[in-house]
Amino acid sequence: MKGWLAVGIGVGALAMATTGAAQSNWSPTVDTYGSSRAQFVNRDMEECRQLAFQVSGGSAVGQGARGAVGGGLVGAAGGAAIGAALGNAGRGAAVGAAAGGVGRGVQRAAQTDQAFQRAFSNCMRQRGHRVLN
Amino acid sequence: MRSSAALVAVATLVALAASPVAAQLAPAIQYVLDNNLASFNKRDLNATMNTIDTRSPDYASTKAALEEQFKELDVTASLVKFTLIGHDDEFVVARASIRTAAKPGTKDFVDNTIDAILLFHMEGGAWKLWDETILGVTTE
Repeated sequence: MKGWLAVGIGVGALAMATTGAAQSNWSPTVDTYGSSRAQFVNRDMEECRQLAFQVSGGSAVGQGARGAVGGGLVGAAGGAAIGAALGNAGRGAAVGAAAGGVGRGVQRAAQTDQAFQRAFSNCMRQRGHRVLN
Repeated sequence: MRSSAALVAVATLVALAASPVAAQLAPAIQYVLDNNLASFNKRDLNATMNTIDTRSPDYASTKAALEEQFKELDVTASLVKFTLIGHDDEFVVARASIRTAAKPGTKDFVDNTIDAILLFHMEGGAWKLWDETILGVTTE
């Protein structure tokens, strides 16, 4: 724990890898109308979520990103820049996410999120569910 | 070697955090962060920047970012958790969780809570923000 904090203090404005930033809450939308597999949706969702985390290199379910982003912005500006960058990378850069490596960290997070979502959806489709996204 | 020195520094700060001085310091330091967030929520650039030490290496980049954020975004920030970790004769270290959220229905913004280590430094007789490292991000 102390070592972890020491890293946080020591890196100052350095950016570190971000993983799993927006993964914990996302689930594909499944249309169960007329599906003979509808009763297995919840079970498959959980199993596919775990598999997708492994594929994308994400962190454990329910955990936020760790070792995320450093420096460049102080105070409320940091969360605002990250939220904008996760919503729209270009807009995020415009409102400060590029400062001090925030952009790089969020960009990695977004790439990891895309891999996670793709794997999650593919997994559900392969289990016979009609995935809409 | 460097990490060992950092560990010693953190251990010292943690030990100091238990002192009565640290207990007195905590409300004053949290006030700085509260003030930063409140000023941000009012979109008051001068007031927000007034909570940041002008000698901070992140002063200019933060000011530039805020100018754009106040034009482009409609979000609010709130303090979820604050813990004073410790201090030496120059800096105070604290850990805070800050939630940033847009109005419901806003596109292109992901509500999030950052978990950050913050450094505070005295300027002109007042504590101000100096630096910040975001340890983690949780999205909603």
